[in-house]
Amino acid sequence: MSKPKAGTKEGSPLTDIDTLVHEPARLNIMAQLYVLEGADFLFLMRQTGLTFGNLSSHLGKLEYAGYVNVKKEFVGKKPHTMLRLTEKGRTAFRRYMQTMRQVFDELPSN
Amino acid sequence: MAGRISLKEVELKAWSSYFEDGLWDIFLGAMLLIGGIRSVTDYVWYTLLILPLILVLPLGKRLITTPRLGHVKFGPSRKARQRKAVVALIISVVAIFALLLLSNSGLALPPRMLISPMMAVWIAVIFGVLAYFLDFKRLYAYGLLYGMSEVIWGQFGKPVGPVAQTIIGIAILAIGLVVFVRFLRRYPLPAKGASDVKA
Repeated sequence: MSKPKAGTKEGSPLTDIDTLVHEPARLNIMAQLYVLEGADFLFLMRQTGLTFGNLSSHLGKLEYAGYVNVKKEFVGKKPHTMLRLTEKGRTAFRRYMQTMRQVFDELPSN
Repeated sequence: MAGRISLKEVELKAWSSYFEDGLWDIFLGAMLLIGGIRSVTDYVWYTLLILPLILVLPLGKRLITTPRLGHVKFGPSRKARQRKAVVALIISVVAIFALLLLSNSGLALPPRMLISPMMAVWIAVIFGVLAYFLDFKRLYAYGLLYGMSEVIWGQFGKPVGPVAQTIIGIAILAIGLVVFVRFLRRYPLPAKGASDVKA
């Protein structure tokens, strides 16, 4: 059995947090793509406020993990790179939301 | 990292960004303005100006908005709301058309003084319904302004009615132009190929 992450208790929902989704910029990207059917790179850049290079880097990681599908489409004669969450990505995002709810539900109320 | 992500707000923000271009405001203001000028001057050919105006929205979205904001495909719930807005618009157009046919049919109708408040309420309701389904808050105010111009026309007739309509049209058009200029400054054209990038 793998060791729990440093600072976390074994069995606690904190150990289940998907760190790929948890990173704020990637969380923002995945939240955008979760509520949309698809968006191109420019739209994501505008909505997330990320720079070109930053967005590209994070999308690369998400695509490598199989969470985002990158597809080149033509709108009229112009090429567009359309981005969509895969089923794996949607499941991962839903699991992340559930985990975070558990984390905060288990916090002691003061 | 905050525990709550309001996905509804994320989606709404994405949707609302498409109304930040001011094109709807320009279209609605210009429609009222052209109608007002046509009624003041009695030059029927002014009505022909509506034809190019109808192209403002689709061409503007295609040539100005989308190159600056990017392409997006909204989810099923947003598409359902758009369909409901279209249905509401069709019903209102049919109703107004029917009223126009009735008024030209020779049937005895109440004078404009009585019809105008009813038309004003109907216009405000239709704009309100569109504002609700399109999540476009400025339409609530425009509905009230459109309705107000109808009431003024009904109460005072020419030339006060058409002049009021023209002034209200100019006001809405001015708002649209301000929003449009702000949009152009906030979203400059991106570098070539910004929407065509392999991650």
